[in-house]
Amino acid sequence: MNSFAAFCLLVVVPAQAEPAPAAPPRPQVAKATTVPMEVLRSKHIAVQIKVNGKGPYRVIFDTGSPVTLLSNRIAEETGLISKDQAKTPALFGARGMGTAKTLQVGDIVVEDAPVMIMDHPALKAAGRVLGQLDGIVGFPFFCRYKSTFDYEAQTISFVPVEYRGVGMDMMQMVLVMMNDRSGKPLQKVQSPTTLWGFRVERAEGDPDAGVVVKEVLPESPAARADLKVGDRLLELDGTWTESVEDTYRAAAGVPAGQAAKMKIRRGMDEISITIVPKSGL
Amino acid sequence: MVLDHPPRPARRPCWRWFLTLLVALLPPAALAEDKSHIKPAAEKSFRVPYQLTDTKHILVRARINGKGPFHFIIDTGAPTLFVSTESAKKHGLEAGKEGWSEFEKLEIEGGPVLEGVKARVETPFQVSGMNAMGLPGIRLDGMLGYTVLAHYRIELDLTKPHMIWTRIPWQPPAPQGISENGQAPAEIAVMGNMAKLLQMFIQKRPAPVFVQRRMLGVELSDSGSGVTILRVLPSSPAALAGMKEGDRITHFQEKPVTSLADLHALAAEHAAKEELSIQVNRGGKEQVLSVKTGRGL
Repeated sequence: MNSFAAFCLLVVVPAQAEPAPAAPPRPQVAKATTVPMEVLRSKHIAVQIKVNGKGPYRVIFDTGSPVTLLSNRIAEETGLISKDQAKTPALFGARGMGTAKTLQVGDIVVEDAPVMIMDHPALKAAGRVLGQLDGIVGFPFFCRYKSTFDYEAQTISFVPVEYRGVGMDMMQMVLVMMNDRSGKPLQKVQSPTTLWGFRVERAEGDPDAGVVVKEVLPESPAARADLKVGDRLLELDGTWTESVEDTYRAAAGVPAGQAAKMKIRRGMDEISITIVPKSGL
Repeated sequence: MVLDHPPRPARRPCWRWFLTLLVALLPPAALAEDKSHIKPAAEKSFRVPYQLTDTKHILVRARINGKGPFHFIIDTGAPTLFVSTESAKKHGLEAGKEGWSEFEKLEIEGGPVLEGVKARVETPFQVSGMNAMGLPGIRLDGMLGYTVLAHYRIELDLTKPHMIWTRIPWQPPAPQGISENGQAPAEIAVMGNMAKLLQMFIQKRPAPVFVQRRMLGVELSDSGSGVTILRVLPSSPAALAGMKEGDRITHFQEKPVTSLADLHALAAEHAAKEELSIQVNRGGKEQVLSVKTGRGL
């Protein structure tokens, strides 16, 4: 059976949403803005938002949510869906994706914010005990900011950053997956822009932590840091190097000319050395 | 307003709730005597490396009682630490009474350490669902929620490779369960069951393959007028191919190079190539060199 058809049969949800044009929301503020957070009895975070100028509404702030989600109640009040649409039966009231002209969290206003419209059962259930909760603010909002969470002060502060990595949303990803029958894995290229001068490996089934240094190029940053063949690299710049991938990921995070610590095991000793990678290849 | 009307046939099934991590329900067992406290001293800041999953979750690694690493989502939508049953079992961690456990030591990559951490050993359907479909591109072992996060002021900037976690010297109050009768409400059970059903119909996405760029062994500088070789490491691939200090790299695989950014983009594009064609300008004369690339950083 075609799994896509099966999928559609299973989820009989009228999806009248027009996919949003991929205009990223633009932060309207240039400096840090502090937003009060309400720490609920359950220790979820609630914040007050306005949508298309209407509100305030109380929603959950959830770093674990890849979407921003609004209830049918908000969607109707703010003109994202019509009264008739709101009444059309749908599983979990799911209406697909929409775009809020403005989404305001505290004093921050973002324009053209992608939102998903549905009545999340967990919100309903939590709302019965914690007071009405009408949505979730998630990744598409907070990815635009350096966000600082402080549960003691009960604040989140936001400083706009140039993050442009939203890319494909998950719905698209799932559709691609289901249509792509090749089963080919995605290739992820790791390409640090710095020269270090060493090579590591990890043997299959190696019971010990870290990767083993197999080669050190003479006169390289690694040689100058006194890294030796046979050393076991445990950490690079605070990242656990449990694999070759880890090592490249850690290396990619260190800019050229900046000193980084390497924690290594040499024989019975655990030592820390400092390496300064160079701009290079 | 973007939602049109009247309804179109179901073309874009809306089930992303499935990927929304909001764990609202705690069993009645309260976390009253959470003894978690921190080493080392207060107000210390840590650079915590994270990865962004393909599903846009922020993932950190941690060891529990020295075991792991476990992959946890940073989740302000979860009240506590959740460790999936399967991952706990795999690493020999025992689930305590009614699914609550207390772990002696939680070490988060980058340095934060908590002791006496209470955790739920259970698998939220969002985690099992995403794993079953291979959506995140990396195995998930659970979530780090409030009882861990609240000990720190946490700074997250997706343009940087590390979060900054700063210890706050306070004892966060314990979360309280909000389930009305100790049971998940019917709607959530429905959601979980649907998620399980869906998994059976969707082919698992294969795990991604990592490709590491190969190495030349040159130090480079971008003077504004092109990319110049500052140093060629002895007996490196570049040295063997005859590259020399002072050479200006003008082309990489026949593509023009005017800046370091160009060069690194091309290097990423041809990451796995064992032999590269690199054109250099040496004292005004262009020459094309063939380089057998090496493995390593």
